[in-house]
Amino acid sequence: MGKFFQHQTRRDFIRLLSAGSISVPILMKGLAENLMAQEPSTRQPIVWIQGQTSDIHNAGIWNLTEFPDFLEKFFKIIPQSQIDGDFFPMDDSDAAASHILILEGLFSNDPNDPLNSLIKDLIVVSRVVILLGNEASHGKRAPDGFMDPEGDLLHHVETPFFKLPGAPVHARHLLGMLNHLVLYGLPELDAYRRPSVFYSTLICSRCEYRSDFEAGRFVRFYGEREGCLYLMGCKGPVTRNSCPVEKWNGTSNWCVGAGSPCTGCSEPEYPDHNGLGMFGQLSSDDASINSFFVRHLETIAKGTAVLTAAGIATHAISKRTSSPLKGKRLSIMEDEDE
Amino acid sequence: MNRAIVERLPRAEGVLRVIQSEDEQDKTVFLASGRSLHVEESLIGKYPLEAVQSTQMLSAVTGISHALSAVSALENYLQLDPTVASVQIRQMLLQLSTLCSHIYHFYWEVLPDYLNRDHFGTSSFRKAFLRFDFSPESPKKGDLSKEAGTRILSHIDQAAATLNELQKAIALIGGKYPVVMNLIPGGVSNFSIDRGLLMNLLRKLEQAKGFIEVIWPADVKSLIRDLPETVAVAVKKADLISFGSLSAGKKESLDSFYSEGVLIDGKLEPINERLITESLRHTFYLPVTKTAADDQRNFDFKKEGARTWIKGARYDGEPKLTGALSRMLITHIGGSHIEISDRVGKMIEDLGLSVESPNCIASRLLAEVFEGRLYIKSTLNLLLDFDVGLPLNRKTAFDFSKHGSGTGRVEAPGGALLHQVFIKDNRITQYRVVSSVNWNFSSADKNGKTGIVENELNAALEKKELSVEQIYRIIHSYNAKILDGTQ
Repeated sequence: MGKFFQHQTRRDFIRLLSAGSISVPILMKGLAENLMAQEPSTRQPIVWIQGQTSDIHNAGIWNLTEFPDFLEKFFKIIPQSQIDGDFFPMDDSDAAASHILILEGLFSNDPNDPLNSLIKDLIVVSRVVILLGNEASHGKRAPDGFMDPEGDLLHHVETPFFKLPGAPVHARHLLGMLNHLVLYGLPELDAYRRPSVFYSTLICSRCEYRSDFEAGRFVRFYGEREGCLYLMGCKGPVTRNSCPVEKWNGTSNWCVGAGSPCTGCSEPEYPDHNGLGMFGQLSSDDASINSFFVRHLETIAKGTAVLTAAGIATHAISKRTSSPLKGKRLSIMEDEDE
Repeated sequence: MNRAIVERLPRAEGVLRVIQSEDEQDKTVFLASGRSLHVEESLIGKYPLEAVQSTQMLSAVTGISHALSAVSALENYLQLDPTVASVQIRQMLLQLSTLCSHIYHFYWEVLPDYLNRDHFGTSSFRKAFLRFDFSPESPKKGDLSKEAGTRILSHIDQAAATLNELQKAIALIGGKYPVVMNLIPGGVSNFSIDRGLLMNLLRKLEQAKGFIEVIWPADVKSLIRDLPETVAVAVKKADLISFGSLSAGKKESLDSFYSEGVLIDGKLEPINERLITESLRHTFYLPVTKTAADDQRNFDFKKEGARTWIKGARYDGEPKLTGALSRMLITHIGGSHIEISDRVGKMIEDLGLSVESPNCIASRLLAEVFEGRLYIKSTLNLLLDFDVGLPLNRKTAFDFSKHGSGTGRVEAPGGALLHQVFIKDNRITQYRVVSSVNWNFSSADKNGKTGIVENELNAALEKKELSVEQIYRIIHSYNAKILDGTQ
């Protein structure tokens, strides 16, 4: 094991990580040292199953230059085509139960679908299951015909599991968690079963525009000025992720760095956020804002909304009309002869 | 009786099965996609800006084009032109993401179909394909020679490093890759694009330039020289469609590469959006009626004859080929860009093809290479030409309250991409996406006309040349971003 880790217990390590901004460099330093110093006696098997999904989550992961080296050194990816009924028999030894199962995307809930039954079998004998990306992590929101891995399967077995949500998932999170599994085993999880290492600090707490947020200096429309995007619907005050510190694509940039409000893509309520949507403004209570200016603005806005709603209701009652197409999908496709 | 020849196409976004009908009277091959994620429907009731983010989930390589198309549709609705500086930024994003797509397409999707165990030997290049369920097998018919295969494979690490640099460049502008966050109606949301950022981008592109201009073209040419069968044209007739370059704003120095147009029986015509329709014939979707209940599902798993979620895009009832080759040929025929016209004319001549019948694996791959060279040159020019003093957006709030609609069209890496949005009271009431997969990978419509890929597969079947390897080679030579077509 790398020199750094020889003097650290897991508890020390987690304490350091929970300090926030230093978490990622340490994890990455650990990874680099790990790669240099270790010659693992065994490679841990990974079964990585992609369902119906684009490469949105794994594109960033595989383009991390160190990822293939790391993976090849410590893990052995078992191709899906090599897994059959006998590969992981239900009553097999510890070796069979040592594999890490990564589920990415959505999977059919049709019991006749071969992938469906394969996943059911694999989950029971996995050492740990990683739900990669929002689709797998939040399967309860999947459209009809897809399974919810957590609710339908994982709640009924003892296999430990955790989620790496995001749109897309941050490449370093998977890398870090696999590293963690090699070094220390299962990570500490938050209430949503996300690793605390990456999902414990509020975006706002490490944001470069934190001082603007505190002072109530907000951007009101795109292009007005550089500053805090709270009024543009930023979910930084309620989103826990490491984006401001870690950034994306090799620390190149992040959403707020490109002038976009955080959409809270790794939160369980994304993208709806309890009716606010990606760009709806959080209440000052939710955002824990103390600025008098914002609270005052919000009161006026609420008052205006009530008056508007009353006006609309009066208008609707007086007209007693409604569009025949309201709320329906419009016919814009080719008519079929069936 | 139907039989799956390919249960799941490897190295493709989403799920695609290839099925053969074993009916004595009708031996045909057709495509069956995986389930739709219902992205279009999920947008109904959402705030319009959400379409820019949500549609990017459809594809890692086409996602940025979705964002560009979605934001254009919103601008069309708002009647808001993007600023000149933001058009330049968008053009950079489109070009860089197209470069990523093309390089990935050749090295990770197409190349493995021509490799075998001999090419890998004891080399470490196997790890470049760890992401796939890919194990090189013993040599088979149509594989690359050992010399050519090994040489191309030896560039795989450089291809990965180039992709990495390009993706970082995209992230520097757009916030992150593969999902960009900076596209808004009227421009881009970036607080500033300063000289430091431009120089950083310039350095990254300079690192990628050598690979894009020299190594990748040489590798594609090597493959074509080694495998003359890639020049065979399976289906003679090729009607084409291209949406042309991004709107270039008012600045004359902006590169405007591609003409828009549709080629019908050899005649180039301007595009009429009203003629773009989608066939539901073999899809699980149900025709939409105005009397349908609000909560009625618009699909049926048990619909007779249904096998795919890829709606069949048609122009005036006809399937069209779309992609890099198509947009280059339309520009060549339209004669609007001399450099493209010369290049594509020479390419067609060198391959021994004709403009009327140009569609083969070799021409599709070469068109992407030529486009890559144009794009890296153009992006560097855009960077050097960029005026940091110009406004990046219209500095205005967006009013989505009125009832209306908008369309946005972009030439995505895989071809013509259309977004259409209907808005009322700050909410999306309907959303429609027609992607390149809907054009190229569609099934037969009510008139029995099939999409481009199915046509080519059936032509190979007729010639008794349809092995599983050949299916992979045909399908991968198109951009098989299947999920992108299921919306």
